[in-house]
Formats: sequence, structure tokens, C-alpha cells
Amino acid sequence: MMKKEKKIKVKSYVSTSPDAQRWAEIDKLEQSLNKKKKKPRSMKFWRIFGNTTGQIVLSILAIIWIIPLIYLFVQSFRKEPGAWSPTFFPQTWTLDNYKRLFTETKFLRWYGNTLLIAIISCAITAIFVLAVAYAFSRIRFKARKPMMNIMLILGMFPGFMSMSAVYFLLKILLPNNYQSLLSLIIVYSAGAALSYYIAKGFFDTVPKSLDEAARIDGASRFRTFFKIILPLSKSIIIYTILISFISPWCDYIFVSFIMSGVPDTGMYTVSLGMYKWLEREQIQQYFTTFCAAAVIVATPITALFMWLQKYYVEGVTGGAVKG
Amino acid sequence: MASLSLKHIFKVYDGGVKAVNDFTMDIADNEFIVFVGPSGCGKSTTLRMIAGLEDITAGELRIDDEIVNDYEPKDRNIAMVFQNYALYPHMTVYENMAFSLRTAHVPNDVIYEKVTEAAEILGITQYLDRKPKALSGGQRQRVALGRAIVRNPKVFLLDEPLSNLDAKLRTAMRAEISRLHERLKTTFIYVTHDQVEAMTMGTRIVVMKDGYIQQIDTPINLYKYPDNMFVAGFIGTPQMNFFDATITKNGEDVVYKLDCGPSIEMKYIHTDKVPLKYMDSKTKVVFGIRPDDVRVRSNKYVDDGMWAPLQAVVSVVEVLGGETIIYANLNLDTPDDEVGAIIIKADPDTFVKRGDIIDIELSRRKFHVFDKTTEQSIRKRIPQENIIKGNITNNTLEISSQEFKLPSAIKAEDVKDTEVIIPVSAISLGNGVGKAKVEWIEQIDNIVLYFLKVGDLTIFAKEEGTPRFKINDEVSFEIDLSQITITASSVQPLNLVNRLDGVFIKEKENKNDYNFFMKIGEHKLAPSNRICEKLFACKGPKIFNTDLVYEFNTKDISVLTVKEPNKLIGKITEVLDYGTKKYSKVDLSCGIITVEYSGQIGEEVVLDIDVDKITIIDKSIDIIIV
Repeated sequence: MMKKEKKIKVKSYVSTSPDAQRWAEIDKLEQSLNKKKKKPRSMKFWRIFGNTTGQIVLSILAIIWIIPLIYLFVQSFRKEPGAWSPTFFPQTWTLDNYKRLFTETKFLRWYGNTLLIAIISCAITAIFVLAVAYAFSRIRFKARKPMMNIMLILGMFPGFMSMSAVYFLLKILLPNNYQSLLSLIIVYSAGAALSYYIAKGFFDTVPKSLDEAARIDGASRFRTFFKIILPLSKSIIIYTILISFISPWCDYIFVSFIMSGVPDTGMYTVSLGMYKWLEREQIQQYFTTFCAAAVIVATPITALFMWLQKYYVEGVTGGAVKG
Repeated sequence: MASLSLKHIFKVYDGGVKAVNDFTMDIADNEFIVFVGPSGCGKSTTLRMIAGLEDITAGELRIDDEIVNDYEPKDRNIAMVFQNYALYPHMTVYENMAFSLRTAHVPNDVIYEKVTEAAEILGITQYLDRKPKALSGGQRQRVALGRAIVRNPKVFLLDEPLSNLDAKLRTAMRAEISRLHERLKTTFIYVTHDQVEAMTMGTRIVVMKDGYIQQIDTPINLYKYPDNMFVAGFIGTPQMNFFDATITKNGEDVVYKLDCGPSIEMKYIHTDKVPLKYMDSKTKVVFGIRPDDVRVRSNKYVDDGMWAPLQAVVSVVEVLGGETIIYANLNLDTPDDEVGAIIIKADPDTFVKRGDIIDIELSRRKFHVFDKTTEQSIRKRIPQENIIKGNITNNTLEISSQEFKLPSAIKAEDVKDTEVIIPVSAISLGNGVGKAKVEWIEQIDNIVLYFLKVGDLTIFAKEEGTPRFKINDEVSFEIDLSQITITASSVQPLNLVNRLDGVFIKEKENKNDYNFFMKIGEHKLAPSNRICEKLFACKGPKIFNTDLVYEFNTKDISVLTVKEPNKLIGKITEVLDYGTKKYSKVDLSCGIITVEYSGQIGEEVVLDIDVDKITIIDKSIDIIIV
């Protein structure tokens, strides 16, 4: 609107007035334009100011978060025994803690147990979640909506609320060895489908016409899922695998509950075994070993995250539809 | 290489929304059919039902005389091209095209042969090892076509394949798809909302709106003879001009008085297909004329009978180079008003500007007239009814001083100048009491339309085949009086379609066997297997709780001499004598039906119905199941 009005003004001026007045008019216009130019400058200032403040706050938070990790890491190389050390960095550095971990304790056994449980239940969980999510995303059946809602609500309750029920169910299911690795695998993977929601949200973004095209091409639902949809869903598969690997890997509550009272410490997972080291009688002796173990436990997950990070951001449907 | 037949196809969604209503059409081999209509008209749904991606609620879909309602898409031998191409993004072009063949376990060398051949047809050989991401829109569309070609399908289904492309590419691809159709010699079904695509590509076009078919015809016939206002307005750019009007007939002169002011003068001969009942100066009609059929006059008006002179005031002029579109108004005081607005496609050398008053001429041949309320054309190419004025005296119908003795079944009071409706199909030529002169003959496809001059009236009659008479021949004709309507004495045409309410029931015969019956009132009819299958396919077990309507033709009912179980039994309440044919009304205690039988009033008759000709309708949602 403003522009139009100005134009008309200038025009009327041209037809009636001499040159000098025209120049004055143009000057005025320029001045008003210059005034406007100042605004972006202040915007830039605010942006830089905001960014800097944000960076500073985040840096402080990051330092606060990383201090315990660094402490844990350096303490794993401490030679002096005991749970408490007067200095942040150890006075004498050694690798003995790691050596002791693998020679004197059952850590390697626990590590193997945990890895086994995590890998198996991670595989089962990934298949469950992806299949359930695909079904909810693509197939229309009567119970779809109610089932989705029920699963969503059930998924909102913390898992350990059902702990005692799970314990008795396992006792019925595996009367002879309910305190075993198998029962742990069942516990971690059985309820996996409840976390279908993110994967379903992802499948919803994969165009339905791909399924239809495959159907017309003669592919069964199974083939469509494995040949068309899964190859397009790398990022969600990796996300699902990561999440389902971490939960049994780091879980303490279920293990401690199900394995409580098991005399054979060889059945423990790392979290349970390591927690035992922190008990009052043992902490003096085992604290530095605990730190070393913690570093080793954290390594594979950290590595996994760093390796697979890029898939989080990768666009997958490029080229499928116009875009 | 296949013919398709769609019979009474319905699509009803769970919520009761009817997406497609009674879609009936036969598609011959090698046709290029275009479904066109605004969004939400059910055209894509129909296509998806043909493809097998949507279930057919009711109706029969045949491909090559095989009912395929329950076939999986892959078994229907069709291929489909999607609007967004639906290419598999993680596969190369080659793999995309080969996917269907791999699924069918075709050997690798055959796949290679077929894919390269298809790629050659489409000119995408050099892109075979690229991923879809690395292709332009037009190339992707070609890959999608290629994926369809390699399957060698009987029917090609294309769902708005060009709407994602830019305008220039669209024109190019349009020609390419037409060429592909020529080359493959296969049946194509093409869905679009763009009437230009429809007009340029289709051998026949199906215009749809709100789930109903509006008209099926060739592009040129749709343009020239639209059945209703929707088709008239949808096909053709710029859109047809519509004006509310009334018609006055004064002897041979007919005047269309437009509501916006001016009048268009014509002779009766120009507008003789419009029924006389609309020419009473009161009934509202809509006068329609295409922008092409209006011209701007630069020299003096000479009345050659073909063009009617009018004046208009110019509102906007669009100079397109090849032609000039003038937006004007027939009401000279309101150039920008909606009412009276007229679009004129003028010569590119026409130089007019806003505010000019121009002389225009309207074609007296190429115009359209629609009923204001029904929006149906009343100047159809083949008129359905003769709506004329007649006198009745002494149970004799007098039309233009010719007398037709009414049969005893018609009891009409004496009345003068009443409206008589005679269906065109009810007039047969060659013998009879009526005498007429053939005024004009039109051959429309397989139908001969005769213009018969009876006194000062023009009556239409039609026959199939080639003309038997010549212009100016004297012919005799007969009227099937059972089909006429006389408004003043409430004479209605004899209803030869019987409709009865009923249900579908099962009765236990023994432990595991059930007998199924069509129950009409107290009567039971044994259905054929075909009927049972269709009822169950459509409604499942709900069929036993559904209110149905059974519809059957009078000619499919025969009267039995002996009593048999599971037949209709009723009493004759009325005998109708139409001269050559006699009918009886039979009371079944749940309804009255008409039977072609001459009996005594009060006589009990046993009726046998040809169950395979029965039509069954779901009463609540009004869909034809069988």
C-alpha cells in the first residue's frame, strides 16, 4: 500500500513541478529508506547477543555434566586403594584396575551375559516394533484405534510397576529356571511392541502409494514390507535398535529383582554385579575397579551412537515423490 | 487388450458416505477412457476399484467377461500409474521396472529384454542405472509408465499422472501418452481433473460429479451436446455463458427473454427440440451459449437467419495473441455485474476497450437450453418426450385435429388444451391411425430421429438403424397409449416396474443346511445361487437384518396354472385394457403389482418371477446389490 501511494505522489509531482523539487522528493524517499536500513543492524545485534548467551549457558551446563564422567574415567587409573580420594586426579596412575577386572572378578562373564541378553532382546524388539508399527500404519481393521490407544496408555506406566506380576508370571512360564538369562530376555522383549509409536509416525510419512504400487506389481504384504518399506526406513530401524539395545544394557531394576537371592554370581549382568561392589563392605576394595568397569560398559554404546548418528538426520524418502 | 464392463458399481464407506453411485459403463478394447470431474467426484475411487485397491461395495466389474470383484490387483492383469509416480526410491530405474517381474519369478534374461524394450519406447535407456532421486519430473513419470509397460497389462490405469508436472512438460507428456496408447494398442483409463487433458486424449470421456456419472460421450459430443448445465460449464474454456430466461412462442416466432434485459429472437425451427411446455413465457429456463458461438460484428447487420443481434458493454479485454477474449455484459448499465456477463471469443484483430458498446451476434443454431430447476438440457440431441397440448373429448385424445381413441384403461375427463406427454419411444411409425408428414430427418449414431409434422405441431419419433422414410413422405404412426401422461386428468403411464419391500431370510433345513429365501410380505421366493453370492459378498451376515426392495419388470412375470410352493399368490383387483395389450393389477397383500394377463377381478393367480432378472436394492442406503 505504502509503495503505491508514494508512486502516485511522485507521478503527480513530475507533471506539475520543476526539477529541484523532484530531487528533493527523491532525497526524502532515500532518507526514509535509510531509516529502515538501521533496523536489520539491531536485529543482528540481538541475534549475536542471544547466541552468545545461549552458548555460554550451554557450555557451563556441559562442563557440569562432563565433570563426573571425567572423574570416573581418571579414577579408573588410580593406584591408591579406597573409595575416597583427596584429589580429583589420581596421584599415581596405573592399569592395574583393568587387569584386576579381567583376572580376579567375574566381570567378563557378566559382560558376556549382558551382551547376549541385549543383542537377542534387541533383535526381537526391533522386529516386534517395526512389524507392529507397520501394521498400525497401513492396515485398517476394526480394533486398530482402540488397540493403539490401549497400547499407548499402557506404555505410559513405568515398567517396574508390573515387577511383582512379571515375577510370578515367569514362575508360571519357566517353573524350573525362572531366574535365568532366558527369563530376562523375555522380560525385555515381550512388551517391546508398546513403543511402536515413533516407528508408526515414521511409516506414516512413507507414501502409501508405494505400498499400492508394490501391491499392483504383485508383491505380498510381507515382500512389500521387507523389499520396499524396510530399505527406506534405515534411520528408524537404527533408532529402534539403539533404543532396544540400551534398555537391557543399562537396566538394573528388573535384574536385581528377578536375580535376587541367586547364589551363582556368574548369572549376573554387569549392572547387578557392579552394584554389589558398591555395597558398604566392598566399596573400599572395589571402587577403582568399579570405575574401570563403568568405562568398559560405556564404551560400546558410545561407539555405537557415534557411528550411527548420521542416520538420525538422513532424509530417506527423497525421490519417491515429487519434492 | 481387454474390454471392461462396470455394472451398477457402488462405493459406500463405513461412515455411510457414498463415493460412487451406480457407475455403469462398457469399455471396449483399445479405448482411451478419461474420467474427469472436480475433486471429490469419485473418479479416483472408481479407478482404484478397477485396480483392486478399494473394495467394490456393490456391483459387478468384468475384465474380458470375467468377474474380477474379488481378484487381487496382480491377478486382474492391470497396471497403474500414480499421481506421485510411487517409484521405489532405493532402487535404480532398472530395478524399479523389473520389480513386478522379479516378484513373478520371471527369468533374468527375459526381465532384461523387457525392461530394455520398455526403456527404449520411452527413451530412458541412458538412465537405467540411476536412482529416481537423480531424475527430473518428466523422466520419473516415464519410469512410472515403463514400470507399467513391462507387465504387459490388459488395462492401463493412470491416476492424474500429469498433475505434478509443470505446464510445458504436461503438454509434451500428454502427446507422449497418446502416442503410447497408439503404440501399445491397449485399453487406457485415465483420471484427471483437467478438462483440456480429457478433451485432447480421450476417445470417450466420463464426466462425474458428486459420485454420479453426468455424461459419457466422445469429446466432441460432450462439447456440442452437453446433457446438463454441469457438463456444459465444465467442458470448454472459457466456460459457457449462462443466462436465466423465459421463452415465448408466438406462431412461428420464438423469443428468449433474458432476465438481464435483452431478448433473442428466433424462429420455431431453430428451437423445435425444446418442448412446448417451456414456451409459456413463465417457466424459467437457462439459456447457454459458448464463447465461440458469439461473434463481434463490425459491419451492418444482415439477417441471414443464423445469427441473432445483441449489444454488450465491454468490461475486460484479454489479448492472447491468437485470439482475444472479451468479458462483456448484456446489460449495458452494469458492465461488471455477474448477471448478464458474457464471455466472447473474438478475432485477434478485434480492438475494443473497457466501456465500449459493441454489436454482437449469437448463433441461432449452437445454443443450449436447460431447465432452471433440474439443470438438465431441454434441447437434447435426441428428445426423450414430446410435451404437447391436446384436447380430450369423449375419451378421445385429439392432437392437432387427429383423433386417438383412448382405451378403456384410461379414464380421462373432457378437457381442452391440456398438457400431454408422449415419450419419443412410445411412437411407432409405419402403421396406425395417426397421419403425419416427415419434416426433417437426423441420423445420430445408430438412431434415426424423425421430425413429424402433425398439423402445426412437431412430434419426434426415433428408430434404430437407417432411415426408412424420406423427407416430405406421408407416414402413419401409432402411439403406445399406455405410456402417455395427461396432466389435467392425472393419467399416468402404466408402471411396468414393480417395487416391493422385503427381506432376506434363512431357514434351518437340518443340522448344517440352511435354505435361503427372499421374503416379500408373507410370500417366499427361492433365490438363485448368483443372488445369494452377491448378497453375501456385499453385506455379509448383516444381510438378514437389512431392509431390501425387490424390483422386477412386468415382462419377467408369468402366470402359472397350478399352485406351486415358493411363488407369489395374489388376487386380481383391476383389469386394464390398453387395446392391444391387457394388464392385471394383482394384490399380494403387501403391495400391488402389474402383470401382463387378462383375468377376472377377484381371480386368484399364482405368479412366477424370473429370479435372475430381479433387482435387489438396499433400502437404507439406496444401492443396487443385485
